[in-house]
Amino acid sequence: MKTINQTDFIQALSILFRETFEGMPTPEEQVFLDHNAGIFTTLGVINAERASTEINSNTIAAHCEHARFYLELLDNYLNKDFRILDFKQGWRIKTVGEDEWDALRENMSKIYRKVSETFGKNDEWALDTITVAMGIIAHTAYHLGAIRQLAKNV
Amino acid sequence: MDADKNTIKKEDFLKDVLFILRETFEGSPEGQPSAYLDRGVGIFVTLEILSAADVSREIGDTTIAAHTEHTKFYLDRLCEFINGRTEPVNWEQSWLIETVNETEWNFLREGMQKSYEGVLRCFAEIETWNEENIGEAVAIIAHTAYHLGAIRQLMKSVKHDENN
Repeated sequence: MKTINQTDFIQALSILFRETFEGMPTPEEQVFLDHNAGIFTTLGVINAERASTEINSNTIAAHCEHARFYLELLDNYLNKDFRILDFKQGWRIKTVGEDEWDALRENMSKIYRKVSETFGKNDEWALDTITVAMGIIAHTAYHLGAIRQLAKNV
Repeated sequence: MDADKNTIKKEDFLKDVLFILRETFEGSPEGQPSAYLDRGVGIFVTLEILSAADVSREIGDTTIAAHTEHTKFYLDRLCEFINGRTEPVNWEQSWLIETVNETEWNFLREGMQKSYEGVLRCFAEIETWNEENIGEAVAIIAHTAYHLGAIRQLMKSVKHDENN
């Protein structure tokens, strides 16, 4: 077949996106992460002090904000908002207080919900938007891998 | 049949999935935009500069060699699933390697290269993309990206220890 059912693509994408953030409730549903290894569970057990501890010149808070910033940027793109943002802005946070850490995690939840909605309502998937959607999952997964490794050492 | 609002062109999806897969392993090509990794960052470039001693050093109860073998194992099994495998996988077998000597490390890196080429072939040969194999293809990218993120953190720790 020369075409792909758009529903199949969105469904597959949404499952992986959900796993990346929420993890999967049962081992049978896991696709690429261990149980309880999603973004929310990972960040939920880290406090501001650990998130701000510098290891190899970086912190969990920095990775977290960078991953969130990238989601916002690409969500804008999928919503046809093509503003050019300064990528360096994605690395502007390094340490956080407890309130800032709570706010950062809450903002991560908000952008997760927003991207989920965007995936659901986008009815025109083409060369650029398919790359963006897969890039969102790959980029978050990359930083999740980094964050979980850092978390073992803080 | 042209793609309409309910469909995606297969060639678009294939082009995109191969683009991100290639970036994950080979890094983004010079002169082209990257999808999600910094320039020069990819599995092969990352593993190339590490010695067997580097990848066998235990940090936070794991090693780069272990992550590498696990990542390669996942690539092979997911391709098998895409090609019709139904029997379950014993994933514990993917974590059997912890340390390697130089010969084993070269062999593991060559194995990664072969597995990557196997994924490229696997994707190219898919006639009909559906929810299941789309999920498996993107999972290959996500899983590799996850372990690349971990490996690069481990690499920083290894290099930091070497310099101190």
